[in-house]
Amino acid sequence: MSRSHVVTSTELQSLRDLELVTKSTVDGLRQGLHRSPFHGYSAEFSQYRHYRPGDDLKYVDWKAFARTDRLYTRQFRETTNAAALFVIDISKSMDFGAKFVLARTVAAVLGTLVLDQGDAAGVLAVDDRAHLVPARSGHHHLRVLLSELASLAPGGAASIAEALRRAATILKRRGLVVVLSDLYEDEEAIGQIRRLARMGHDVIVIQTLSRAEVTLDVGGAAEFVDLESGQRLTVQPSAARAAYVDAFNGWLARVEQQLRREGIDYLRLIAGEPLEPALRRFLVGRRGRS
Amino acid sequence: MSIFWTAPAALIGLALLALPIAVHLLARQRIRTLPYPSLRFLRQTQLASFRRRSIQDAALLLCRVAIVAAAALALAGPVFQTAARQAAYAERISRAIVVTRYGGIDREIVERAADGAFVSRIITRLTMADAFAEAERWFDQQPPSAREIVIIGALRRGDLNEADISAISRDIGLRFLPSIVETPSTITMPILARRGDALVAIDRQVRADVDATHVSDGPATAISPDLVRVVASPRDTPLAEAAFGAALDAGVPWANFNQRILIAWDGAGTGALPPNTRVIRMEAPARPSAAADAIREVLRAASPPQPREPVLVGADQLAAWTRPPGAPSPQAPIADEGDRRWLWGAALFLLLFEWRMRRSIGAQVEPATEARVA
Repeated sequence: MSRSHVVTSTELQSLRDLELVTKSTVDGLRQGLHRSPFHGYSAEFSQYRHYRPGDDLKYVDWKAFARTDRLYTRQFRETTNAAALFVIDISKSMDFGAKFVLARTVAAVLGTLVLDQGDAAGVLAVDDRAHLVPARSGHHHLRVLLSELASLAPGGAASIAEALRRAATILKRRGLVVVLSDLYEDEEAIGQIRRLARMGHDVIVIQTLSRAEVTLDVGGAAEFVDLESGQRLTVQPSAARAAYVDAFNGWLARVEQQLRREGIDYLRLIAGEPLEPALRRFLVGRRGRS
Repeated sequence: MSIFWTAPAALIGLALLALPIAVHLLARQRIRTLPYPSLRFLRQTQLASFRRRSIQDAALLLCRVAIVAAAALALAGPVFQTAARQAAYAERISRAIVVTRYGGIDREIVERAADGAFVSRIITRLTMADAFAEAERWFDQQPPSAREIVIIGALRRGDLNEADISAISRDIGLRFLPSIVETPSTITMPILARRGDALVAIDRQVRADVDATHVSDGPATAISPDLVRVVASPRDTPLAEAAFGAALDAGVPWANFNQRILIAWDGAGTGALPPNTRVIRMEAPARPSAAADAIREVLRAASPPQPREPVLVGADQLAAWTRPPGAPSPQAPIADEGDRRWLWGAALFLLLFEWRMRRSIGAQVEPATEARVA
């Protein structure tokens, strides 16, 4: 499966100059762009600490000793590579409009960025079984990643919370977790996201929605069938629209507030709206906060 | 108040009431199914909106049913029989104007006779009886109204008599407009009469003026006394002779003087008859007092037709025959009075109302949105 089936070259090229860096420290095996939990003697100064016998004297700050008459050893932050896991919601509720395609496209774009900057990327989606591509680096892995993304289709019975639960068990080292979902199972999902964050993972939540479900832009009375539960309701959208939009926007605000309170980056994308500016704004902002 | 339908067959159109009901039911059944990610935000609005929609649907259905009903009823042509309309029926007059055949009739009088009539028709027939019968037939085809026959022309005695008048329905009014513009005419009538013991022929001059008839006798010419005789049985001879004399004294219209006439009274034998003799057999009249008239009628019948005596019907007689129109006939065919326009108006109003209602509840599906969602 070529990457063009998942993401267009235009979408990739427009974002190729960006980097997806982690905000928090991550565990890595190789040197990379991301902060390591290990303080060592590298290029980036981190902090002073009191000299302890055995420290390499070349890291003693003699100027500080001259000023304070105390010995301090300079410490440097090590950088490492990161492993990013894209957890994609393939539940039935994603099978509406173009929001699943949007989620897959975003995963492909960000996955390409991650691999391009030398980090590892993997994919996890759960329906009746787990679709897992373990995080690996290297351009040869991009084909595997995109192929797996192309094979995914919404309609699974499992919720995003189940996928997140599995991610928590799979991820052995702290890394980047990108959640792509409509978050309709918000309570469970946010609980799992919070758990991942508290495990030390840098979690990004990207909520993908279709325009029609945001504004209830549906003409004429219809029997609405819940994609998840199969429940049916006969609704006249013109009569229900105002209350629906109020409730929906309130819910979106609550979800965003809950995630931000946990320090989790949140991005809402609407299918059909330009992707590149929204992603660029998000990535640049995230880089600035790191 | 009752309702009369001028085209009751159109009420079959009420069966079309089933159409909007069927459309309503089918539309409800055909409501489309829309898979949607989550109903959690629709739950709060569903009950209210659906109830409102149901009410709006019912109102829309009611409106559509009313449109079809109004149209069907309008096509059936209702006529509301109110008390006011019944009174209006009695107020208006259908007028048959019967014009006699005689003389010149002032056209203006005929036209003026139609003034104020709801409907009118001018009728001219050979006899007044035919004209009256035609007028009644015409009345039977007219909408409910008071009916009146106006007779215009030279109302001569004999042309119009009691029998003709009594044949007309009592509910039909009668009015007479004697209108003679012809110049007075003079008719010469040969009369057989007896002057003394002699039979004479007299040319009687009859001049008919507008208000009176003038009679004057010309010179008398003696004729053979055997020209007209009556024979009867010995028992009846005195009566027959007396009646014969009385008839001749008054004068009998007569033009057939080249033939002998023998009147055989009630089966009397005639014996040997001279040549060129005509025998007229007559029955004895029921009453002796009518014997002279009977003789006169026999002789009148034997003579060739004579010009009718142009005696006009008297003004008193005309006043006696005159009568106002009665109540409209209950059998009169009820015509469309335009009541259907109210129903058409109601249908049009409801049509606009239905259109507004449809717009307000947004019943129309937006295809573009449908495609995008799909």
